[in-house]
Amino acid sequence: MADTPPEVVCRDLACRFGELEVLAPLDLTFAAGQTTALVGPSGCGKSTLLRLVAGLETPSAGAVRIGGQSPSAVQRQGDLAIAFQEAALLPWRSLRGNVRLALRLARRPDDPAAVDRLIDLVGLTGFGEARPAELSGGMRQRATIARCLVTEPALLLLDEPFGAVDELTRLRLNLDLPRLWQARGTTTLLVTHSVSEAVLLADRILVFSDRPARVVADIPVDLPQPRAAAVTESLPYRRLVARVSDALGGGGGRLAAE
Amino acid sequence: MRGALEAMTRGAGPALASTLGLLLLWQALAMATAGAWILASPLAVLDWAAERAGLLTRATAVTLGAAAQGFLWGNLAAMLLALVSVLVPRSERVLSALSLLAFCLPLVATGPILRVLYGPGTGPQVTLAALACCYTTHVALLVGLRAAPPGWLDLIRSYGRGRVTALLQVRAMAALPYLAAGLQIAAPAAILGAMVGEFTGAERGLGVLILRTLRGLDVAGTWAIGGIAAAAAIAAHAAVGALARRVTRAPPPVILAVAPPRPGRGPLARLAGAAGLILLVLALWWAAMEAAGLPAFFAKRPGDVWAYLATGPAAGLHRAQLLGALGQTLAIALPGYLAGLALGVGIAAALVLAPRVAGVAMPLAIALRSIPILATAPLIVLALGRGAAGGIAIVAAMIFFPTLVACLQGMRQTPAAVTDIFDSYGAPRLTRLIHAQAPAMLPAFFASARMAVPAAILAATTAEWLATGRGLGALMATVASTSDYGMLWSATALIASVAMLAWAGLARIERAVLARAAPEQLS
Amino acid sequence: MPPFRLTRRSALALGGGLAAGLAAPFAAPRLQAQAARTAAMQLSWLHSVQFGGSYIALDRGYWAAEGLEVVLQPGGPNAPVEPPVVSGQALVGISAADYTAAAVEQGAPFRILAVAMQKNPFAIASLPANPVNTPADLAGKRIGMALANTPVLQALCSLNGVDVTAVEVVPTQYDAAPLLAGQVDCLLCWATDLPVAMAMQGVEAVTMLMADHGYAVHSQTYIATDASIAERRAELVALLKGEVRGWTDYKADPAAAAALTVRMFPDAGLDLPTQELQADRQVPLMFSDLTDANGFGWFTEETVAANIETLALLGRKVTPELWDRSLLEEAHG
Repeated sequence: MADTPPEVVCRDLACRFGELEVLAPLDLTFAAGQTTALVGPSGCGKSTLLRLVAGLETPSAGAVRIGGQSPSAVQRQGDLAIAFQEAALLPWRSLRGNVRLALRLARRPDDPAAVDRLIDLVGLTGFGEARPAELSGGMRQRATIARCLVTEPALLLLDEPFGAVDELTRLRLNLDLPRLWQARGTTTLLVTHSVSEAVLLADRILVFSDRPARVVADIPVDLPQPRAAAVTESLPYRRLVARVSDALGGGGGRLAAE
Repeated sequence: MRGALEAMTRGAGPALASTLGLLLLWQALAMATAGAWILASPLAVLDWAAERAGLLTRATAVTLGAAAQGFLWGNLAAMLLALVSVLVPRSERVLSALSLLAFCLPLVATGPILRVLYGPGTGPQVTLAALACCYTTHVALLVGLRAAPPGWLDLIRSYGRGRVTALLQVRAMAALPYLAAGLQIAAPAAILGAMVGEFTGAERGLGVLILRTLRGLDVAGTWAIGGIAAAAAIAAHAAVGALARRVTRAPPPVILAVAPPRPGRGPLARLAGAAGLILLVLALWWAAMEAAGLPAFFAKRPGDVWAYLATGPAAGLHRAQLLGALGQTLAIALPGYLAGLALGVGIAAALVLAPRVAGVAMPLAIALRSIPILATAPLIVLALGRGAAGGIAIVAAMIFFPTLVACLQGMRQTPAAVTDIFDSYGAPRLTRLIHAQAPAMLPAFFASARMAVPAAILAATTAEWLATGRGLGALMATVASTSDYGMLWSATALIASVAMLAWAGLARIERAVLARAAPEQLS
Repeated sequence: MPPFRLTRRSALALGGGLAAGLAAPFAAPRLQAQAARTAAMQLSWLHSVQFGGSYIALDRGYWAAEGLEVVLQPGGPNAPVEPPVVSGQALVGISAADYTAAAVEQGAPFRILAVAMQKNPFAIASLPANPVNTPADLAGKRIGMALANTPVLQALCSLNGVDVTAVEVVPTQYDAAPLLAGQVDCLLCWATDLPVAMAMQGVEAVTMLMADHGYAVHSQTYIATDASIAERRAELVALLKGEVRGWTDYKADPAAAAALTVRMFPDAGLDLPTQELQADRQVPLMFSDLTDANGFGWFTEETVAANIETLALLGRKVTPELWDRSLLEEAHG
């Protein structure tokens, strides 16, 4: 499966925590090799959907299939990687140690060269021995991306990976990092609050309603890849931003301004 | 090495101040109680010790050797129990109960058995030191092994890795600060355990010497030995603390999690679980004594206790005697327990509000914990009398220390980001304490409250033996001298049952509170 | 601290935590491990000149001469004598008639073989300014004692027609400090320990020996089980022979016994003057016209009868069969 990116299918997927219905039954298919952005109001269940796909939550009904396999099977092959809103770097390990840990967890052979290459790629050259506490928020998020990518996963799940960084850094990360996985055609699900980020990174945007989440808009993003900073000046980009914001329902302007 | 040196020199100022403060307090107390033959002045003590340097060195080596072995085994056992509990969550309830029960066993009942099993030598001392460590470290570790942000565990799970990997990569490291607190609590306990273990007929050691000085009206000797025990405990406490600071340089993680609702167990299932546990304990009790071939004369089996209390002649009389004594014991244990917890939390809070005081107060607290109660009880009796007040004070003095250490450690777990918020508003320390540090401390507080349950009952029986002459403690001392082992084991079983009930009740309160304050502890 | 080694004993300590018995199968052989000619004697307290005659027997090879190797096991507050004797871990225990009677009531198959202390060492100690010279003086006094000894006080009072309710009992540790500090007027204690400790501190206490007021309870008695008497009789006789010789030497020179005790147990925290004083004070308790006539450890039908009477006051019903002099007779013979 690692050779070709998988298609992700959610069939009648629902999730409730006790009395709280977080996800109403959803039928969704994420095409192989595509980057899909999930946007919607806070607390609508986007993150839960991502965690269901990652196999970190158990659905109360329905199922997730990743390339025909269950999430737990994909987990065990080390073929998925997830980045959380919090960097979730282990504080007692160095940056390099945290990235290497992913190789070990995914049962991949240790590959110091690849680890250093990724640290360079995410722009953290020279910080390999730094502890997470010594890094800034943006650096920590980049470290997380390095950790996700070092195992060359077939499925990449990003939950607000750049939520904790300032706008300038975020834009730079938005432009630099996606190349690392998009070149390999990794199937990617991205949860984000930022409409502009969604448009910039995704091939497709799903807009969710308030809880329990339903898909209110399914918007293909046909901007050419790879996308450079200039694309944000283009008319199609602005139209897409406006369309997504409308779908979000009035609050779009605020979100777009983020 | 350099780090340790730095830590030592950094701690030198407060340490010096605290030593001086302690000595002054000691001298003042000695002068105030002159003529009572219960406290010698520091100079008299020093003089006594200098005259017997060789003897004291040998005795200290023997006792600390046994304490160190017990510390090692007890804490290894605690780690093993905690590991199994985390890897096989179903076993946690049973393992915790067994560890609690082992801690509950009173020395009057276990002493003869240990000595008969081990014969001459340090076996009983090592075992009692290990027993004194195991339960508290176990409880502290259980809390620590859960004190990891869920994101870290999700990371492990997202690679399809299970509990073992989570334990090795995340939980073990996250638990280190809690383990350190546990070891700091265990260090004085091990020393005291080894000393008390010598009461089972040892040839040499500090415990033997203190018995000699107590009977010999040798007040300077008693306090010299108490001082050595306290100094060793303070040193062990400081060494564990320094080691912990070196290992855990990382700031505490932000733990903000949503509690997964735990499937509630019905009353029937709970009842079945409790019944199973009781059966297991009874079976272990019986099997252990049978396997060791211990004579029923002094090693009573569950059946013997049942006959003594339920079916045998005079069973009704025995029950009445036992329950009457239990009532008297609880009348001391319960207020003493609450006072000890309050004292522990109160001092912890005071230390957070006035950190400079910590340097003085901490060694004093350790000293109070590690000087054998045999030496300190007469002081407390002198101050408060032989009535309930004296008994309650002895209980509080014996149990406040774990609470203090655990609560201090718990408050240190307040995420820096949270305290920073309070600092950014220039909030007074008290506000920060109430709104940030106190809630962060709750898991550690409950852990220490659990640790203190059996300790309070044991302390109450000790106080009764030493001061009030009532209750289960006095009853057990009496029946032990008249070979009434039926009553002794009945009292032991009763103490264990009461401790278990209190522990279960506390667990319910704890769940209710933590569900609001620290949900990660419930997963 | 000694370097850590993984010995069987430390391995036992690990198991000891959860259930002493889980590890016990490994220890169990110890219980039967007494070689044919090795015998342990369980003492009733820490090493001191209280057991000086035994140390002499060991030091001068009186047991070795009998082909017996004797191990002297010290006692302590949580080391009762009866369990090791019942379990067979010790061949002989040093007990007292009242404790032995209580243990027999609980099913222990004990016999008293010899009596080291002809006079019970229990005494009432007081200060000269407020003395207790006779039991009648107890009325209105505060007495410091372990509550476990209440029957002893009751027996003394009823033997002497004193109203026990007129005595105020204060539960104290076994310690002379409450008397010196004025918390109590007198102490129930052994004549050979707390008064000696006070004397060493320069306070000469008034000591009223209860044995002089009708309290007849054999003390420092040698006990063994029926099974041992049947199966290891020769060893028991050999052990008693050594004791007789040792204590005979002791009587001749108590100071030498004190010196030997201090020399033999350098780690026990003993000091020579205290041991010498204690050695002197226990001589009149251990040796009498009876022992002069018949030898160390002797008892007669009359002394046994007096014991049975006092034990009855303590709530202990015993018969003369509790005593068995035949082994001592062999030892003397």
